[in-house]
Amino acid sequence: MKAATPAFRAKYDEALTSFLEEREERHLRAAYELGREAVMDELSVLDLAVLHHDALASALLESDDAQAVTAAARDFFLEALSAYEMIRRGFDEAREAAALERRHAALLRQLSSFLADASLALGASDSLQEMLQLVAEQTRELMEAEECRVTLDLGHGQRVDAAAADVDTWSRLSHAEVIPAIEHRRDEDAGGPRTMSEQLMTLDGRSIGSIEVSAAEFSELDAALLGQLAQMASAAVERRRLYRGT
Amino acid sequence: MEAEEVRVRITHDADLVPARAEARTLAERLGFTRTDATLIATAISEIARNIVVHAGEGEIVMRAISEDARKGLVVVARDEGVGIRDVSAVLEQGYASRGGLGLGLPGARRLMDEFRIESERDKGTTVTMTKWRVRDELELIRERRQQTNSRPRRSDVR
Repeated sequence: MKAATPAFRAKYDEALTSFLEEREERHLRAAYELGREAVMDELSVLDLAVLHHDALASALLESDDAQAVTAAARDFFLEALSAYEMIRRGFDEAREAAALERRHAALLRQLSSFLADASLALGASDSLQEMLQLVAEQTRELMEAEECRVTLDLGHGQRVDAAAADVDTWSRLSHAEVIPAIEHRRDEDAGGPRTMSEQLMTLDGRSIGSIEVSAAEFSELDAALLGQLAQMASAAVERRRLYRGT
Repeated sequence: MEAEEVRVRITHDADLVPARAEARTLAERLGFTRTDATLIATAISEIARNIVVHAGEGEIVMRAISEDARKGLVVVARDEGVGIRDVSAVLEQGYASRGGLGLGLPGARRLMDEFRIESERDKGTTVTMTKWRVRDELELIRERRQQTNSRPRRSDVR
């Protein structure tokens, strides 16, 4: 941040005096331009406030209508501050973008541990159901979704399903009850959560199932994340198929 | 009355003044606070400046719109300049890119409630932006009462 130069101070005094003499838009425009100049010259908003206060104090000494001068000076100051308001809102956006990036990084870390867990599940258990359950639970948690359902088609009419739901929403349901409840809700509640799905694919591009999530809303990041999770789940299923011949 | 439009031709820097003045008058008529009127005037200054710098000339059209629960001021700025090659990049300027302080179009976007840019290479750019004011309960009651009073009474109808 830089201090106000004497030239800037003089311009501000002059512009405020002109506005107090003639309440015209062109002088308010001058105030806005001075605020813009102050932002571009990295003048602190505190310095601008002091500068304005000094200019107002001088104007009040020469006026016999303090109320009118103060009200007009407020309008002038608002104009000068509007450029700072633009910057402040930009800062808020930057802060939100940084928070989103942090969440993204945390999700990626969780993804890594998810991959490790899926591999462990493959080694520790023969149960395909158990592995899909892990996929459903991790996906729901990573995407902060209300529900997640994973379906795997084994061929010859055989199918394996797994589902996970937000504990707060579905706390009273057992695993066996969650799938019918999701289907019922989808049919009954058209205005409910939105649904997004990805196919599970074999290495040669054949569809072997799907992973579906429901949430109040999805971001572009969620779509990319679901794609990544579907690829990882597909790879885990393929590994199992190759090693165990199922 | 609500469909009334105000047009300001923008051909040089000095045209920012009438554009700002018209916006302020309309904002005050619609009941916007002084702070919001200032933000609208600032957003208009930024898009008018953009027209002067990048297209040379254009126009700004302002109009009032009204819904049940809110009133709005719509600003449409048109030019027939070279257009904007990458609208997203321009709007993200100031936080996503290293350049810029976030004034100009991204600054205007942040001051308004709705903001849309349509741009075509060598054909021009149209910026549409809206500021809304939520109508309070007292205002709605007064309006309903006014409507009731303006209806012809049964005794007046023959």
